[in-house]
Amino acid sequence: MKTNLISALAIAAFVAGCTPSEMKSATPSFGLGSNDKTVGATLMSAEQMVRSMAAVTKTEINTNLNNEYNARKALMTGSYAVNSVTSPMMISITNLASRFCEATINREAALPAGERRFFGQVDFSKPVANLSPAQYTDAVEKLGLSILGRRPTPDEMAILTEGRGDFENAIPAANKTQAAQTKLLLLFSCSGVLSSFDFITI
Amino acid sequence: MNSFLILLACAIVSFRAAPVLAQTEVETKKLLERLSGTKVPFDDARLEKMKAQTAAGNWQGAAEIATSDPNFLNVTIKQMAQKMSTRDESIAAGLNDFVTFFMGVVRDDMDARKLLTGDFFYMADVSKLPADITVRADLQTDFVQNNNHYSDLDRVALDIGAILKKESGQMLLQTSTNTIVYNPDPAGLLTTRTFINAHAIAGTNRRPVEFTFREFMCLGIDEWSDTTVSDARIGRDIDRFPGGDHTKFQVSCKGCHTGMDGFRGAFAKWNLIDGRPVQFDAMNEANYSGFSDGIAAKMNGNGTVFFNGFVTKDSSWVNNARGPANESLLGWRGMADGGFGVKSFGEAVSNSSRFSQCLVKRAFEAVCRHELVIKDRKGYVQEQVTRFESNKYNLKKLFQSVALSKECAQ
Repeated sequence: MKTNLISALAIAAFVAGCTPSEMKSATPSFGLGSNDKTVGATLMSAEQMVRSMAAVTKTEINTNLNNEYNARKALMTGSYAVNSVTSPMMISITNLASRFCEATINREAALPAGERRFFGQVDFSKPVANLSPAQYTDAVEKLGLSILGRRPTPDEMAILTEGRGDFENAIPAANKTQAAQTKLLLLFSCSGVLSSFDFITI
Repeated sequence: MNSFLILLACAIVSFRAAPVLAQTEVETKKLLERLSGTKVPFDDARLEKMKAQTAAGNWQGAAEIATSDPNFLNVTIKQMAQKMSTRDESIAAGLNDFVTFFMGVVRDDMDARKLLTGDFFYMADVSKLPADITVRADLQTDFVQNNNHYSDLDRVALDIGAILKKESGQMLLQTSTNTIVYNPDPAGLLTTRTFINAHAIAGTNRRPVEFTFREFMCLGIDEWSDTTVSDARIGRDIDRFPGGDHTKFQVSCKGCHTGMDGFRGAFAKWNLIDGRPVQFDAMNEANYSGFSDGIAAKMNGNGTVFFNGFVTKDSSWVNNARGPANESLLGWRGMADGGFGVKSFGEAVSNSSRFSQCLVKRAFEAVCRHELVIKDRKGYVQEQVTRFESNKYNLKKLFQSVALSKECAQ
């Protein structure tokens, strides 16, 4: 699957002026006796991120993922400091996230719907237009719960839904009936959540 | 499309909290994440077990489940040790003998003072490696002379903590016979290849002292500087009249040098030759390159700067950090006035109260992810130190205790 879109997402965050400090102040927290993540939020190291991605998606780190990690880790680590985040770092993280999401989607697509963690309501044999808003919302909520420990807020959900619309509009007419586009939409959504600032800080 | 991406990116990076888990579940998950250093999904099977413990009021039991997570060793302990293992103190340092030594001491519930006194090392039990992974394991070429073994082992797909095995002794290469011999002055992490490579390269062997204090006492050199004690051990290479001004030496240079130079004799028989640690007594060669009369030549280098300075003739060290300014700060206990070699130096440091305080700080910052300034939180630090020492310097229990403390969330 192509990951250009995912990389663009990371770049867009910076183009849009979502600076690390702004991200930090808006980032929630869980804590023993505290829900304020603005205290003590630090960036995870590359190894923390890859092991966390494996844990939340329940994906074994195989040779391909290990190779992807080795290719990216030099840009993903060096400091716990939130203000050390750079655009190349976000692109690397998003690319790695997309690999875990790709593995997760392919694994789930091969399972009976009732055995899936995230995409129980998705019919992978149908074009993306067949994925109802409720089915898409269900998938995104489950991604949020497992990856971030919470559901997306209504605002976030609205933006993701709007994004879905743009995604579908951008599909060339000749490809609109391809079932593969459903996987791409989910790859896009999953990678965004798995490389979000909330996920990569601890 | 671009505006969509910008909007979406900003939304995703600023996800707001909408917790769906009960507070106890949130706290349990957070405890596991703190100790494992990684995010876990809400349906992680261990969370149920931890919740059962917390429901019974047994938070300690929940913390013990969390420290049994492989990532406690593979991430939390590994990264803490990585940061301590090199001169630039970067978490990007790879796996090495220093890091695996640290992981092994924690895993095997050893007394933490072994970190500075232990006569052993950790390597992979190759019988536990997956069939498709090959790790070089020749003692001479892959451990003593370079980092091959640990570089090969440094893979995220491996549970490194589980496959390490303890080996007795620390090894050095005796070049005259081209054989591996036991290190006659083993001092845990202080005599690992990584530590000696990082701090005994070039220089004057003051840096191993400086970084022992920096990493294991959590004190920068300026913090234990003391100009009120004797300067009798300060080497000949230090100018007593910098810029023609003896006062500058007395009020500035002397403060750091009296401490460092007093201790550095411990490393007098150590040098780094051709990128590999050399301990003179292990070489069995009277005129070993880089040494003079059995002492690393650099110990007495630049001897004309101040001819009446101290000349190092053996591996003796004296503790000049016992003046009024440092006695309470460092809390020396046991035999700490002086000794010979690195092992006795490691024993003195590891028996000090500051060593325990420093490990509390290290554990706190590793799991709570924010700074702990010892002098600002004396009560809390002392409480943790007392518990740590009564638990026989068990690091795993220290991490559990710190992660459960309310200060961790503040």
